[in-house]
Amino acid sequence: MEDREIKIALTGNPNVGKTTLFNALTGSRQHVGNWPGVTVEKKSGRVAYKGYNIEVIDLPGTYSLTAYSMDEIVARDFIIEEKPDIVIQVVDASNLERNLYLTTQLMELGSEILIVLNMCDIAEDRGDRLYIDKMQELLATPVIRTVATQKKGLCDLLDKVIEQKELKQHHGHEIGYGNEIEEKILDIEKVLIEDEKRDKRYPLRWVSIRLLEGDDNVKGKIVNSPVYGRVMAIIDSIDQEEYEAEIADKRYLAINTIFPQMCTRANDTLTKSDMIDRVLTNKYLGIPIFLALMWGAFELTFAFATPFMDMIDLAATWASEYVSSSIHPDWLASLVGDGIIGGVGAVLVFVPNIFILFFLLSLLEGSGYLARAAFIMDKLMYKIGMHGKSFIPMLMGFGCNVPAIMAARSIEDEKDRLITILIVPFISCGARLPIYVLFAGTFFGRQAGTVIFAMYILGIAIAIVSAKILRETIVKGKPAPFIMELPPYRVPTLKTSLIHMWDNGFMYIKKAGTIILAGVVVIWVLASFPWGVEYGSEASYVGSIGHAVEPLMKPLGFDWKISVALIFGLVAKEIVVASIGVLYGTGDSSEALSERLLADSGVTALSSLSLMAFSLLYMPCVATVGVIKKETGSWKWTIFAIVYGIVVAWIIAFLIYQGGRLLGY
Amino acid sequence: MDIKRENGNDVQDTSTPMVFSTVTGSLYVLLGLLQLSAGAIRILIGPDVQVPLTNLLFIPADIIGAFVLLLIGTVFIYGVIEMHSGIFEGISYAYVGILISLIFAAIYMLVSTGNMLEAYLLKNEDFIGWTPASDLRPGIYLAILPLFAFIKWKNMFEPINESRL
Amino acid sequence: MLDIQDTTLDTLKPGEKASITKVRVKGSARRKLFDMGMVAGAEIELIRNAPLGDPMEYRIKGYHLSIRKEEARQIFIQKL
Ligand SMILES: Nc1nc2c(ncn2[C@@H]2O[C@H](COP(=O)(O)OP(=O)(O)O)[C@@H](O)[C@H]2O)c(=O)[nH]1
Ligand SMILES: [Mg+2]
Repeated sequence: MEDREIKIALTGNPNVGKTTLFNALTGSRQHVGNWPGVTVEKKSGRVAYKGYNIEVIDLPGTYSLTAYSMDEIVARDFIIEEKPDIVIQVVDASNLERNLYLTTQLMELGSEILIVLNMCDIAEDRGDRLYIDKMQELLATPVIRTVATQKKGLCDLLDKVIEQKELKQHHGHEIGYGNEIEEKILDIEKVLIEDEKRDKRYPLRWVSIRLLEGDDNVKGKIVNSPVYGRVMAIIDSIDQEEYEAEIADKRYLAINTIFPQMCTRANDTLTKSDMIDRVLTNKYLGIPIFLALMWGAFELTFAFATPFMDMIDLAATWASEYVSSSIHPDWLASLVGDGIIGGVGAVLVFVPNIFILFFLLSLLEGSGYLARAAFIMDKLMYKIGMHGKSFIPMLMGFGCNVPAIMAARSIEDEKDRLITILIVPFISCGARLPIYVLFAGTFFGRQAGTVIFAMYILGIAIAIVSAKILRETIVKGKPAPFIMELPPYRVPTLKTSLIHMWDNGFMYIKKAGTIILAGVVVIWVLASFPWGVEYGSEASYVGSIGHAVEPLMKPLGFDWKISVALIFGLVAKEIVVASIGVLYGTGDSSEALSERLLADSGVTALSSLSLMAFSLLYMPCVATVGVIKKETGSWKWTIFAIVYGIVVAWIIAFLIYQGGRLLGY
Repeated sequence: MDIKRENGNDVQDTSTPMVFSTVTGSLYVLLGLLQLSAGAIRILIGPDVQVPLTNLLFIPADIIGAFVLLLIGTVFIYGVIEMHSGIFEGISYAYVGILISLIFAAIYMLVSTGNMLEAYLLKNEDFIGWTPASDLRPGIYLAILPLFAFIKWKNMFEPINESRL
Repeated sequence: MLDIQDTTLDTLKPGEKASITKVRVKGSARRKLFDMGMVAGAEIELIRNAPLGDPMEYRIKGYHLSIRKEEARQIFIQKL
């Protein structure tokens, strides 16, 4: 017998356990977090159960379907346009009232709903009583109890899904909004129905209510309809803000009338989460604790990672030597040994940093502290024209700009998001560190640490100033309001953090394996051809390119070799060091490279400082450019980010080099 | 501030956590101050001058570490002050103090493990003469007290109505 | 509609409770606030301010919600 197909979508507020349930059902890997809105992408998986092939989709967490954020639009469009057989709303049993608000909206959408009452363990431990039968009756919807973390209730859920699918009976249910609003709803429905070509997937009543609430997204969907003008005439005749308030009121009223019959809540008690919150957001202690924890995270990311980095370094050096001596012909040995292993080795060295960073971020996220970080930092961020939520992407930027820009998706406001995306590339990512380590280590000796720290500060300062400038000019306006749930503290699960670490670390390795490998091969070719010239010498192609741009770079103190390395650094900033190694013919031995650099009179302490600043600020690497394009959806902003970066980098490097020369260095 | 509890006769006694917080907090503050002066002298005068007791107590000249010690100490003492003035929630500070001191001890020990790998496995020349004692510091050995408390009082940190069941 | 008191949400002190009477916030924040349960009649309690004074942490409908003073100033309440 052929498997029958069922498509179910998991929806619900953030932090109710959708992803945990999704993982428990499908066994697939997915990130689990505590930062509201972390599941931005639609994830799907499959489960085979009793002869059915069930496709499960994990929708982004939303508080409502009012199109306030991208998440809401994604979830809503999916439910309406893809028409899953059953929409499962995951509900936090310990926070029923607010969760039911989304239920009222899902019902209006006319979808087949099934309610999963998750986190029953927390509610019951607290002493709440939940009356499931009454709930099913009042909501006219099946209700299943689960504890996703303990995989309890999963079979009940799947049984119910199948039962519901086979029944094919639809539970209609709607909320009355009072005479005045109901009249208007009817008026709009009557006009809308005249349009024969309207999108029939959207229920008329739902469209009408949304229009009365002033939903621009829905307005956009009917803008080409012949009846658009008449609909707008009705909408313009009402006091829209009043209607908006009234409609929300009525929904909560509907909840309030049934809620007391469905559950009785235990008296509020002082929970462990409240106790922790009291200290971590304490007026005097909150910020010092935050700074200390951030310092601890950095200490682990960099100090603890060192031996692992050294190991990778040793392995790469050994492999490179082994290959050079055992492969024939010479050109292949050179390509594999110097080019590929040398270059990729120099990049893989940062895998430990990146793994640790993502592991720690996931711990912070899963514990609920990340939301407090936004809460604690919001006032400061607001002062520089940004939103508290931008702090997290900026913090992640220290690891790698790519996931950082992706993390900006949790910022609802488009302008806030755009500014965050545009300034994250100035945050000094892990890939830029080897450039600092090489040059600061070579030229600044014991002061190297201070110099590197100064680079980080420079990046932050430029980011802040850029945010200010953008707010004053192209992206005018104030940061969006800070309206955010502070979820309860939970003990993060090791498994979740390990999965998160692996997924993101692996993404980095893949990047190293593809883009960066290609970049390294290109450098090798350009440095070795025309065939027969000395490797990376002035006679090679790369030498010619370097000479061509030298006039532009001279005022910054860069000779043709450095210029070439910077050009290749556009592929990925890691390559700057790798290609300097290639150009100086030292492979990946950093000590040999340091000696050569010191011996080269073209590079001085001052020009190395200018170089560090330039590599920090100039055009983001290709991978970052790629996500900027993807996340902003606009070439205009992508090109802006590139040009802006290069201009700022040139100016700062110019100031450092020429200023330093004036001061007599 | 009202305490949301139905009856006042459960876990009101804060004397044990108060004594514990006083002792632990004072130790952290004391060693934090010593470490701070060691660090400050290293920067201002140079490595030749030694603050008394630093060798004996394994105190490194590390200012950021000193800040962490002082912070942990302050969290404990803050709780003592609140509990002393009769606020039951003051116990939260003991709880978080214990958590933070354990977190930082774990961080120091991980970094130390890294150094051990450098010294014994990679035989890095920067780590010649390194022994496990080289990385011993107040942030690590002082955490024994909170660790003890954490194990012993696990139940006390459960949500209140769970312990009432 | 004229009997709305002039007390606004930002005047609440930690531990004090109130009932929301009217939300005068404009724009997209308005809808978001409604979605989060800030409707007339809802009971709200200030838990604390952020360490730098702003934003604020409130308890509403059984969970913790954080908003800035700027919005709180435009939400009218009746103290309980
Ligand atoms: N106690 C308990 N915790 C849960 C349960 N389900 C999920 N969690 C935890 O709740 C947090 C948020 O879960 P997640 O799946 O990321 O929620 P999502 O945002 O809806 O995808 C995680 O720390 C989970 O471990 C449950 O049934 N009981
Ligand atoms: Mg999720």
